[in-house]
Amino acid sequence: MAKKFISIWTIVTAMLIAIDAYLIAFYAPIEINQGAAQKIFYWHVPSAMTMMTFYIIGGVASVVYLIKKNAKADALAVSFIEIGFLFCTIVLVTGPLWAKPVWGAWWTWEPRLTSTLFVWLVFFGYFMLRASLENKDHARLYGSVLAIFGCLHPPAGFKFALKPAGCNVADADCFYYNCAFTRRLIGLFKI
Amino acid sequence: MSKFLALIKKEWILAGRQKAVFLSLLLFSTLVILLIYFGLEVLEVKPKGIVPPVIWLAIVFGGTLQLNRTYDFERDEDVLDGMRLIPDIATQFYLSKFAVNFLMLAIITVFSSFVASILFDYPLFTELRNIIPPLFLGLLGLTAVGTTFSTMVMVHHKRDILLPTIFYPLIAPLSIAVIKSMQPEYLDAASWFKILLVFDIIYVTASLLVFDKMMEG
Repeated sequence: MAKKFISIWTIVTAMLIAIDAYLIAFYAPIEINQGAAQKIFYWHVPSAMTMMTFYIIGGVASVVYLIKKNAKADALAVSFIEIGFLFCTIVLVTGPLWAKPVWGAWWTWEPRLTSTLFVWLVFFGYFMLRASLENKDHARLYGSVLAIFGCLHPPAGFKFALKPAGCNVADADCFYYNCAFTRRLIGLFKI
Repeated sequence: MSKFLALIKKEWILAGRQKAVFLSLLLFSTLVILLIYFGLEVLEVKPKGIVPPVIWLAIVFGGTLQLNRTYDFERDEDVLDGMRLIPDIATQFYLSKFAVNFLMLAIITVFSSFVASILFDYPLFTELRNIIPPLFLGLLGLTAVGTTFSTMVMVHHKRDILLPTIFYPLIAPLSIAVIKSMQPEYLDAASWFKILLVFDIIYVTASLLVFDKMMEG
């Protein structure tokens, strides 16, 4: 039953991706300033949103595992983090593909791009840690701890919500971005 | 409190027995600074702003070796299992490890700062006001996370590789904050200092919260 469901789900997903690709290529209009490169946004932005959502759910499941020591919570955490990692990889590949024609460089050390790279590295370490620990209980326990730290990774957690409208994202040391970021982060802790 | 003091005393005695290893950590930090210097030899005049990152890198690389040794004595003969039998010991045990690691890293910091200031002709004493607060906060965050993570890799035979792999990505934003806030000529140094403070609050709190659970495991 489960196998049949997965097969049907895979076919439906593949069809939706194909339709999506067709609509992006032929239906969506070409943006005046950025040209065809802007079409990457149709993959990049939803991938980033999915990544954030899945990492947060994975982090919450890890907290639940740490409190209850429930293997199901750990399985849930690993599943969500795996999918989050996949979408994080998509974000890191599509970001530079968009940046090259628009900003003239593959990598600009823009705060969001950089913090996404750090998050990708943290969760790459998460999988390495889990795979290298032979004791399953240790793998679950320490994996959960690392996942919690990964999700607490502040710039990653707040980067989308806190970016002010006036910030010039092309500037790697975006002064106003950092000011507002700090102000709001400190404000959050005051609450 | 008496448990904490006893643990600190134990850590201090154990650290005292490993003076030779600690000296090699200082040597390693010096070598890191030397290698960076040779890497930058193409620049005839070394900008003043290069030195704070060099000091921080020497601390991170030398510190990682120290952090990897945190549980050298607990690894053998199931000492940690014995510790688990003592009620309400986890936080005090963590704090004792944290305190010793912090002290060791602080010594590496002072030593590396002197070496870097000599090699790069850096006015260390006039810059102390700018570099001490960020370095202090940076060491706090680095030690908090490092002590927690060294628990994770303690029993692993490839811990020398595993610790940096999981540790460096997490402290990378902290490192950026330390380096930027050490340079007052950088416009946004004050904002980075506040970010550094927030990192410390998050890392120290999270470490204290999860260590209890890690000891249960």
